[in-house]
Amino acid sequence: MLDFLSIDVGTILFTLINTLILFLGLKHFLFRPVNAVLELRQNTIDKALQDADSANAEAQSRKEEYEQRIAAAKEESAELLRNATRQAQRRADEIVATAKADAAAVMQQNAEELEREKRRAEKELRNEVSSLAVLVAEKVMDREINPDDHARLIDAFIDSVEDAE
Amino acid sequence: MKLPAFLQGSSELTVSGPKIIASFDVFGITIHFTETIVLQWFVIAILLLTARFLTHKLTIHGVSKRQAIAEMLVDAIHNLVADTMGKRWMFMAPYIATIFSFSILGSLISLLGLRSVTSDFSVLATWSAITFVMITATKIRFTGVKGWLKGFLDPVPVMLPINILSEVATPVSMALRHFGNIAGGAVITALLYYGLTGLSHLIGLQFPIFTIGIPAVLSLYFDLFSGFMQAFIFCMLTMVFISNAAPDETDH
Amino acid sequence: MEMSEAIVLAGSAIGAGLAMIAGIGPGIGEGYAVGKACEAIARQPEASGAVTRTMFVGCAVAESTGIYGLIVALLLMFLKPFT
Repeated sequence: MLDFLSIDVGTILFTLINTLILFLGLKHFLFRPVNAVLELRQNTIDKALQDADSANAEAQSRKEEYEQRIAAAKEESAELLRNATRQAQRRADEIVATAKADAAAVMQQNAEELEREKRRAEKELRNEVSSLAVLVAEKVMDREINPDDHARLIDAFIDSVEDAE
Repeated sequence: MKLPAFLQGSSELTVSGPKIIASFDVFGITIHFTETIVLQWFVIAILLLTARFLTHKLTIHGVSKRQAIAEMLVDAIHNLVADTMGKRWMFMAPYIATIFSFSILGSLISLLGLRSVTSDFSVLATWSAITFVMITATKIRFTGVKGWLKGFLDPVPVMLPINILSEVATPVSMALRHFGNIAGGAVITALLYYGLTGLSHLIGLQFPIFTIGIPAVLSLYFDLFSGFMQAFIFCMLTMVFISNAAPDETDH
Repeated sequence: MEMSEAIVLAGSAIGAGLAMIAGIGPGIGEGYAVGKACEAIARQPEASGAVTRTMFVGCAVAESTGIYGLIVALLLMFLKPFT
């Protein structure tokens, strides 16, 4: 049996070896696996966060893209609408203009017709008048004109003129 | 009626070192193989089996209770080392864990009626010698052999003996403190058993009735609290001395 | 038992008792430290963990001298180095 307070070479030697064994054992059985799993978990978390970040960025860019596209589509539709409106306006104007022109042409035609008719009527009238005058002259030449006849003749003339008119 | 001997309590007071199981000569030096070594193997077996059990199937997701305990322990040691020594000393964590768990369990096996591993001065001397070597190695690593030797002449060369003394006093006081607490507790517990047995015999009882229960109160302090505190303080002082041996982190 | 042996034994026992006077110092010192720690925790309850830890380490260091006294007393009583 050793003394109460003793320093023993064998005990020191074996304690040194045992401490080393425990140190290596704890390092191998406790620290290495736990550190490995902690590191692995850290990596997994980092990766997940990174993935989430990239997914977020992608979603953001997609959103922007969609917004751009929607804005473009709106612009396009407005353009289309404007074009259509303009075209319709133009078409309406054209139609109106055509109608006006047509109406004017018809009026013109009518007026020309009227003019032509009038001229023809005048011509006819002049022909009539001249033939009447010739007739009257024949009649005057044929017989003596009494006042009655004269009056009748004039009346007849006027009548004929009026008729002619 | 005579009771068997083991039921009569401790009728004689023995305060001694560990039993020698075998001894052999190597190069003229007598190497003793003592009780302490066998108990150390027992402690190491418990610790390593526990570690193996706790880290059986480690996973990232769906952490089991065992793994949670293992992670908690490793995390606690890492935090202790990081708080006391700084992040660059993290490689010390396994050694601190070794000394801490060895010391605690070595003290606590006295609860099983076994002899504490830490009530053998040689064990504490070994551990504090390791600490001393580490302190010196750290000093040499950061200031070189010249700087380390020069440190003994600091601040004036006359201080050389005092510096050497204070250098040696560090491990000696560490070892004696731990040993004194545990061994002193064991001696006081032994004295108490002896006294209570004597008291039982005095009032004519063969069976030492007083030794039931009463020593448990003292055991609570001397075995549990003291064992835990001394292990913690030994590790704390090891860490503080080693990290103080190095220059500040900002110089580095 | 020879006279000289008896004297040595008696001296060892008295010496052991005297060695335990060393317990006074750590008692006062630790009491003072714990009192200060209580004050500190009362002032800053959030730092109680660090204060308690530092206090325990300080107490353990202060206790060293008392432990040395105890070891000397135990040596004198049980190792009987002078017989």
